[in-house]
Amino acid sequence: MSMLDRAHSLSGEMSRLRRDIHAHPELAFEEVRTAALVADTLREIGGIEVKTNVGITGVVGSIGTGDGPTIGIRADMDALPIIEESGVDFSSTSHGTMHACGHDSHTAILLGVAHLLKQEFAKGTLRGNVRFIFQPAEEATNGRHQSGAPMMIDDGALDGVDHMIALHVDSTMPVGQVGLKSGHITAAVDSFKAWIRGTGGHGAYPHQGTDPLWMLIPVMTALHNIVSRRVDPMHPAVVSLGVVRGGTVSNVIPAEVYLEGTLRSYDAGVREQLLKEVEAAVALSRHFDGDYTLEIERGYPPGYNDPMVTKWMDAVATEIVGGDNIIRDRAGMGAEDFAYMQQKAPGTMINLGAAVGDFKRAHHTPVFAIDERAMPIGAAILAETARRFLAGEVE
Amino acid sequence: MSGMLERAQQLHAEMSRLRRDIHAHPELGFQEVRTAALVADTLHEIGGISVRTQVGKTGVVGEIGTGDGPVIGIRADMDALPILEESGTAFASTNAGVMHACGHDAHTAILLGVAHLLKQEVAKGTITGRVRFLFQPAEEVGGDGVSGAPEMIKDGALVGVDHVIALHVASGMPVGKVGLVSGSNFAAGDIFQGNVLAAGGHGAMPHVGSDAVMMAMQVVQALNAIVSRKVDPMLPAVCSIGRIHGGSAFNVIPAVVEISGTLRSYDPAVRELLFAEVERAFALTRALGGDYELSLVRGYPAGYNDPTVTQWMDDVATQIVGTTNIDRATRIMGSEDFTFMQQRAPGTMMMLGAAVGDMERPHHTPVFDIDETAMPIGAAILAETVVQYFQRASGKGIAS
Repeated sequence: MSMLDRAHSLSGEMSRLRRDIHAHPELAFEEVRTAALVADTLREIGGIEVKTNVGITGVVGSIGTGDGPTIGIRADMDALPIIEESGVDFSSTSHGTMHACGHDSHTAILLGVAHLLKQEFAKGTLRGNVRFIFQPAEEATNGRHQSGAPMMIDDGALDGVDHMIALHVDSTMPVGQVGLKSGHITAAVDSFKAWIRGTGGHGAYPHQGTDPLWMLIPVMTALHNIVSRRVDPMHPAVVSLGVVRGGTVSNVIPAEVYLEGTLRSYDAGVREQLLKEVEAAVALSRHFDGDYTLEIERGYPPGYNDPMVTKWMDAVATEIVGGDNIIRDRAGMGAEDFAYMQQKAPGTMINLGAAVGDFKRAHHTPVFAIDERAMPIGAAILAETARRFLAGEVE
Repeated sequence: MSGMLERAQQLHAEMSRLRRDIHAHPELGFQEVRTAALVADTLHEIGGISVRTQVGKTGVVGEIGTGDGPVIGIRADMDALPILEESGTAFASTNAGVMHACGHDAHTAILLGVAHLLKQEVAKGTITGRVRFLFQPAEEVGGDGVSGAPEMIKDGALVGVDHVIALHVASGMPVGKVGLVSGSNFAAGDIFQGNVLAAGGHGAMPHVGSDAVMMAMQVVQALNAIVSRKVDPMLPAVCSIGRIHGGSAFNVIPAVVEISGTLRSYDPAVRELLFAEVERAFALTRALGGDYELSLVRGYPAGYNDPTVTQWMDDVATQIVGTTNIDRATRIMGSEDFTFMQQRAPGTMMMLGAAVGDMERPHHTPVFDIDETAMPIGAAILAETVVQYFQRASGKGIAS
């Protein structure tokens, strides 16, 4: 029986797990029920050493022969602060929280993979180990500005792991298609907060004080010109303002204006350049007798799919979905904290086509939904890649 | 490889002499009369080459070889730029205000060297088809968007040509290195020329009229934000204002401000988006009580190095400079009217490392200069690509 056939026979089980998790979504670092469900399921499968509370609410399962190489497979578990309107009958029972990015299915698929690889190890043909990494908080950071992946890495979840693989469902790609790109796939993401300060004053007497709203105009112009005027056009980059806030009433010039924005890039040099240019832009306020405070929060590094691991997965996916159904050029300015794990162990994340197809069900929206028939495909690709790696069938 | 590089090196002095002669007598686009005469005379001297002049105004076409085999074109451009030379070379421009600041002098000299080398090959019987030498005027487009390559194509210079190759010196790349990118390599380059129109007025009474400078400021803001706000960040694009001009006296509010610039892109949809957004930016003037005139001039299309031809050149360059000296990745936002020829016949342009190394000598600046030791390398790669082209075509395989 092929890996895909065996994955299909687990589709009822994966669907049950996914719907259970979907109905009980938990926000970042609060995945207590989900983590317990994961740990219980891994123990039921058997032969898997289970560690909980790794990276706060993460779970790590280990199976293998002890010696030989180790491959890690990652799924994220957290939901988003969104009120669900998907219309599915297993909708969120936790009002205001929703699995609107498919992490429920990632977790269910990885539990399916654990089933499949347990069966493989039982055959005695593999040498090496598999680490099942169930990660909290892909979508948000804690008080120390850390998301789930670095927290798990700090707790040793990736120690001894040679390569990492993972998948992400894609609600815009048809079931049966897979996105598999070598090299950069997601952007580095940093964010900034800036406070531009003047004295403020009476709206009728602007000349008596200094006006941060007026200073904001050159600052915003400069911010919006960073990408178009300062960055090498061959290198992708984005500077977007997400928040501009200042003032209370019409006749009072505020003393402070607040800005928040996101910075995206691939190239390490461009990443540093954006940070410097943002500082130069907000520093224009000083030119007009104002001042500023700037806080930079460094976020996820750029996601980089290791060419070798990508080749392994491409070979597997070619057998499972066919070469014509592999999209090899998809990259974007989105970000993924799996990138931290890729920095630690060369690895690859694939996109798994999971469009329901009835209408647009975009990620991070209340109507997000996936077609569960994608799950066995994803489980088979992950499990078969790990199997070949540990059977020495990869180049 | 039959010692092509060695034979090219024997022609170094001749290529250098020709390049310096052309360098000292630069001519602007479509005015390359002396240069064209020098080219035609040299081709006649080499002998065995049929020569046509005044192809695409001041262009020259030479053809060598016989028979029904395939036809490969090799292109060099001949025009100089309106720049006052400060390179400090002994053979600097004698035509003040005009300068070979992009290396077209070297391109022309190299192609004449290639003609020498291939004449020798004809004698050996290795040219089993025809080679067309395309000496092109006016690669540097004028404001009217007319450049040399389409003019030569109009005059039939590429009729019957199956493949076309070319090189461009790069003053920022060390000698001994070449750039060979398969696929997209140059950007589409388009021009916008707009006038912001207002009533103008007395500087002391702005409220009586309307102010084209104020409106132009808003247009500039919008133009500069097109790339950062409207274009997919994964797709390269540039919108740069190169010229802004308005007014005549300090106390007169101008009625007209001219804003013109360049648009660069790779993706055809991005190219159209840039046009639409430039139009929208200028249309801001209407919301401000003014008006505008805008002309969008389509320039060079995006360059595309044919993967097969690129592989042929890559094979040769690997033999001549070594594979580690080939940059296969660097694409630029520059534009090249060779792309018109690539639209007619699959072809490839190679970048030829020619840095002098003493200081930055960027293209299109008064201090531009190249290291002439690059010329034999370029000539050898072009000539050897042609020799192997006919070996391939006649099924003889490639001797390596």
